[in-house]
Order: sequence, then structure tokens, then C-alpha cells
Amino acid sequence: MGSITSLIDIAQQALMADQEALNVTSNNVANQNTAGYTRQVVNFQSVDAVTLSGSTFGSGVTASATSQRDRVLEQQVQQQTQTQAQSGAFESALQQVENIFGLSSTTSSASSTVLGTAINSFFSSLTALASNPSDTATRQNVLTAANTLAGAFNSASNQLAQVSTSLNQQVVGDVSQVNSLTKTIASLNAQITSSSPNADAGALEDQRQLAIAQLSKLVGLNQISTENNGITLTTSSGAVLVSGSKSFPVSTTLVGGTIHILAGVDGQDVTSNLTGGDLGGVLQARDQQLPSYQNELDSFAFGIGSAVNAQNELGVDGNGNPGAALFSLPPTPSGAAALIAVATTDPNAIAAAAPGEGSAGNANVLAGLSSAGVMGGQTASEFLASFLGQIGSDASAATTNNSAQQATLTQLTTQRDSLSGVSLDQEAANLTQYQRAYQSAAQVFNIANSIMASALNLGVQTTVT
Amino acid sequence: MMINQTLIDILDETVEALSNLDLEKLNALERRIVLLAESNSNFARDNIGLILPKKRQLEIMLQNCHVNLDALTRLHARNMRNQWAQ
Repeated sequence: MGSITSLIDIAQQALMADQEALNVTSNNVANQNTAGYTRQVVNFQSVDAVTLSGSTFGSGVTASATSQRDRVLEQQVQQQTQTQAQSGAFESALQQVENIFGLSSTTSSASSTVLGTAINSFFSSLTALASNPSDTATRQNVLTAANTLAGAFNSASNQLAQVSTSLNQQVVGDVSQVNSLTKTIASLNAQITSSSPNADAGALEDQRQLAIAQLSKLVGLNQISTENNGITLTTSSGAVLVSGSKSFPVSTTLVGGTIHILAGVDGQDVTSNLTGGDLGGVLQARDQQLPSYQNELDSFAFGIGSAVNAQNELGVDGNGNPGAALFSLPPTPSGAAALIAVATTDPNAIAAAAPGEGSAGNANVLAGLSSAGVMGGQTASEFLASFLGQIGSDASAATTNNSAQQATLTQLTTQRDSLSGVSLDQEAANLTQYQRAYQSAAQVFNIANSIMASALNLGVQTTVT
Repeated sequence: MMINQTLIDILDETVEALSNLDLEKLNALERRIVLLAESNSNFARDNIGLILPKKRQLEIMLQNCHVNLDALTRLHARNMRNQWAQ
């Protein structure tokens, strides 16, 4: 030990340790733009000293690199990624629905939309008919306006169905990507378990984290750390996607024209309880929001069509016969918007006259339906305004929500990326800073709320504590 | 004087600063809005459609922050972070 040779050995170890530190630093710099790369730090450790004849001799120093990985923040980022991906997919679907009905930030009223214009034109044509019931051209105008109205319902319904079809295709595409990623993760699990069962696996773990992050964009996940540095992944509903070195493929099946998702060991149908990620947002839009809009649209078409039919059947047509249904409709509201059509091409089929008189008594009542409560107490215009208002409000809320989720994701990513160490002192400082940032922002919110509430007399104020 | 646009700007900047955890900027924004509240300026209903979504956005972010902070504080208090970070 205390010889020249041993001194040289110690110096050599120190040089090697310094070289390792330089390597780690250059590796960090080289990978600063590598997706998923986790910064490494150098840990210097003195080699055990040796005592000989009462004297202690140092044996030098070694260096090792460890990744600065914080799994709590990693998981928070992943969970937020799932939430944001869901809100993004949902927002995107609702924007498509807005487009169908011609809603945009410049839309000033429901009556200026395609459906609103068609409804107004139809009732205007009936008003014109009441003034000139025997004129064939005026009667033809009513049929043309009725066809335009039915066409507007058909078109909106078909476009809603197309959105649903495109969401089905998105489900199939997402599932394919999920399977590719779970296969990769299972393979990485196997490599990590084999190479680093008790320690951070560095680049391999980075790759696994990156794959899990990509998977989080597609579907909500639960992540469970297992022995030997393994990870088990399940869907938010508990269906296993990856367990150790084995992945369990997700599949799709067609049920009643809709793509359903099968997952887990037994391939159970998880469609109704799958949340998070793009799939969660797509399913939320396809299975909850779109059917609700479709039902409203069907009820609307059925309500207007039925009211016009009922009134036309009370009158006398241009040939002197009792009036018949002007619109063909299904027996119930279901599917009415897609199926509504004008039942005749004969202008004389419009029953303008009331029984026992030869003028336009019934045409007046038909025209008056525009201000009658044909939709459960609401007029057609009121119902349309309420329906479109709901779509606009849902889409706007989805946009706001997605912006907030995106901002939260940015925040968590910032926190994760700025991680400088996992010491308790550093952690406490980070937490304090986070807490103060939150308190300041909460104060801004509360004062803004107060300024607005007092000015608008909104009544109840929301307080964020 | 109408303060709508100022309030919109402050809310926008707060969301951005909170996203980036920019404490200095947040403290400055806090001081700005306190001054604004003390200025007795009027808030008009005119562009309420613009400002409400921004207020809602900040509210959702704060709710998310609250949940995240709770989780981190709980783990820190129980000194469990080291186990997680192994």
C-alpha cells in the first residue's frame, strides 16, 4: 500500500473517475434533445480505506452514473398526459359537430345556420301560401322548402353518423398503436429485469418510460411496479395490458355497427369503462355526446314533421280531398332526422284549405306552427337555438378544459425536467416553490372572481383555496 | 375605465406563469391584480364570453395543482419519495 505504485494507482482511479464524470456530462449534453432521455449524475464514492500497522491508507475513488428519475413526477406526468389526450380528442370531436351545424365564433344566431334558414324558409313559404293558396308556383315553393328542410335534417344526421364512423376508425388505429407499444414495453421489461433487477436501468428505463408516455396518450393506464424492476400496466378499468415480459393484445369487434374494445387476459369488453387517452376521449364523444345530439336532432325532425303532418291532415288539399301527411317519418323519433322526406311531389297535396271553406284557413294554421310549441312547449326556433346553444357550450367547455389540461401537463413536465436531485432538502425547496406559485395564482383567481362577481352580480362566488 | 382587457391579460399571463412555475412572474401578477381591484375601475359585461373561459381555465389548473401538490406533500411528509425514486 503506501508505495509509489499504490499512489499511482490511486491517481489513476481519480483520473478514471474524472473521465467518467466527463463522459456522463457529454452524454447529457449529447442527449439533451433525445425524447425520453433522463439526465444522469455522477456519484463519486471513495474506495474502502486499508489500515496497515496502525496507519490508514486511502484506496482512491470510483465514479458511477445514475439517472435522475423521479417516479412520482413521472407518474403524474403520465396521468396528466392521459387526461390531456382524452380532453384533446373530445374537443376535436365536438369541433367537428360544431362544423356540421355551421357553428363558429362568428355565428350570430341559430336562425343563420343551415337548419335555421331551412326552417324559416319553410314557414315563410307557408305564410306566402296563405296569401295565395291557389297559385301553383307558390304551392311548389312550399314543396321545395319542405325538401330543403328535410335535406338539412338528412345532411346533419348523415354528417353526425360520419363523425361516429371516423371515431370508430380512430379507435381501430389507436388499438393498433396500443398493441405495438405494449409489445415494446413487455420486451423492455424483460431486458431490464435481466440486466438491472435491483437498480436503475438507465437508457433501457428511459426507453420504457418513453413507450409508457406514448401509451398514455392513447389510453388511461394504471402502473404497478413489480419485483426485479418490472412494471405491470392495466387499463383504467383493470384489464391487463402488460405483465412482466408478456403483453396482452387489445382487439376490436363490431357490435351493432359500433367498434367495441376487448382487452385483458380473457379479452373482456372494456368499451364502456375505458377512460383516459385518445381512446377515452373518442369513446366519450362517440358513445355519450354524439348519441345525445343525434337523439335531439331526431326529436326535432320528428316534432316538426309530425306537427306539420297532423295539421295538413286536418285540411283539404288542392284537389278537394282530405289532406295527407306531407312528410314521411318513421313511427318513432329514432332515426327521424336521417329518414324524414317529403311524401309527395304533387303541389296540390298541400291542404291549404280548411274543411268547409275554399280558401287558406288551414295554410294560416300551418304557417302559425312557426310560433306554436311543437317541441314540448318550445317553438321550432326556440328548440333549435337551445340545441345549437348546447352544442356550442359543450364545445367551448371542452376547449377550455383541454387548454387547462395542456397547461397542467406543461407545468408537470417543467417540474419533472427541472429536477436537480432527489435529496429531501431539494425536494422540500421545490415543494415550497410549487406551493407559493399555487397560492399566488389562486390569489389572482380569487381577486379576478371578486372583481367580476361584484360587477356582474353573479351571486355566488367561487373560491379556490 | 373598463378593465376587461386588463383582466383578460392577467388571467392569460397567470395561466402561462403557472404552467412554467414562474414564481417571480406570479408574484408580480398578484401585485398587479391587487392594484387593479383597488382602482375602483368598472368591469363591463361586453366581452364576458371571452373572459369566462379564461377564468375557468385557471380554475381547472388550480384544481389540478391542488391535487398534485397534495400528492407530493403527502409523499414528502411521509418521507416516501426516496423509496419511489429508487
